[in-house]
Amino acid sequence: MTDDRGIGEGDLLPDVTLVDHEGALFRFSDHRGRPLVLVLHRHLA
Amino acid sequence: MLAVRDHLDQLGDVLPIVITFTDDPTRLAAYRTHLGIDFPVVADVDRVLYRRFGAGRGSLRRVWSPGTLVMYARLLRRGRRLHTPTEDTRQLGADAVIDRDGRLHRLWLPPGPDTRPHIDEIIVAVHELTGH
Repeated sequence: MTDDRGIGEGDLLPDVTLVDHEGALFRFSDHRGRPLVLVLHRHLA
Repeated sequence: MLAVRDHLDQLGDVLPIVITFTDDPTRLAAYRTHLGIDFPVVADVDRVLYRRFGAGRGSLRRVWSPGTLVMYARLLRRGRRLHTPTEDTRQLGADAVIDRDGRLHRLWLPPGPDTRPHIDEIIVAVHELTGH
């Protein structure tokens, strides 16, 4: 069951496990200490 | 995200991350090359982040607006091969700035497919974190 609770400003980013362009697992928590700019894309062309 | 790519010098020590929801992550490397970016492109296949950020789905009228149809017609005239999309074309995007502790600092949820925050808004939000 997924956690679909909305998050707002000030909330901790959920550590969703993603897959990167090299096929490796990508976690936001591995990049703490550096600001992130997330661009959530629409569909790939 | 091209605006982010073109303003990296004003964004300082941030890590931009492009998030897609493609169910075929093998396409990500080619897409990254196509965009000419050297920061990560990742897949959120189940759209967990999209839901948790509240990124909605656009109406058919907004997504397939006359402006969109004109754009595709122009691409076809230029010889671009178009493929039937296999992904949800109505999914809208979002933009967010995350602080160093992993907390959401600023979130933009565009009302339609053609609307994104101006790069200056993103730069200001980053500078609020970095003190520049």
